[in-house]
Amino acid sequence: MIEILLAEDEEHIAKLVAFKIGKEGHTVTVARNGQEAIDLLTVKPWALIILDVMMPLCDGWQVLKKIRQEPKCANLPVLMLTAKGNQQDYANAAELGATQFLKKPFDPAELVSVINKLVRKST
Amino acid sequence: MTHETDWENDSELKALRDDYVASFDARISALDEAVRGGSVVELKTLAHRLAGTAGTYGFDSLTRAGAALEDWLGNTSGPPDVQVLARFGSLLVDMLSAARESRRDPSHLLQDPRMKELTSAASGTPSGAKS
Repeated sequence: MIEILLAEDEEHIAKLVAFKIGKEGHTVTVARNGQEAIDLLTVKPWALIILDVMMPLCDGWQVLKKIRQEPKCANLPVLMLTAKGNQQDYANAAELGATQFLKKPFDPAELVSVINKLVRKST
Repeated sequence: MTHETDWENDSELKALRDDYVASFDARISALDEAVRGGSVVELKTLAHRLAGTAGTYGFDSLTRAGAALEDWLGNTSGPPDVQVLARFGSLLVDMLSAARESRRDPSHLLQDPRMKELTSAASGTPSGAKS
């Protein structure tokens, strides 16, 4: 079974993404903020981690840093969701080792396509 | 690509979208309060959240308006003019209300003079700031 960790504080986005992931036959766990995501990093063998950039307590970039420092997750594919998609985001993604990022608002069908590609690569 | 009809034809997607639309009342109240209080920080947050979510649910016009408001607030040095702020706030409220009623993207309001003024202001044309 494919397990995906989604860190997203916006309730309606979390619900839609979780729904779409579920339709693909994967299981999703939702973290409501960055700290919750960090606490969940090693509780399951994630196939993919999806991180919103702007989150309370700890933003997506800080979570990504922790992921790359954690031996169990260091090589996991990480998809960043960002509303900005500016030069700074590109720079952060490259420096911190994000696998891919998707600009918000995203098309749900495109999100599914990206997720499936990343999951196929990791399994 | 997710089309307008996809939201209507899939009952689970429709339910999710209806749930999102149901949040518009709270967003409208929050916008009204933030405009009345002149709270730029709160308005930027509301605009940012709207910009980042609405398009995902098929409300592209709300994303455009939210993004423009966020950009304008970010570009404006000093407190924004209260009348201009009220105009832009009322545009977003009207767009949210229209979307709530019709369950459709209020693209017709992209032609509203307030949207044209907001787009122009967001692009950096110095308007809206207090002199």
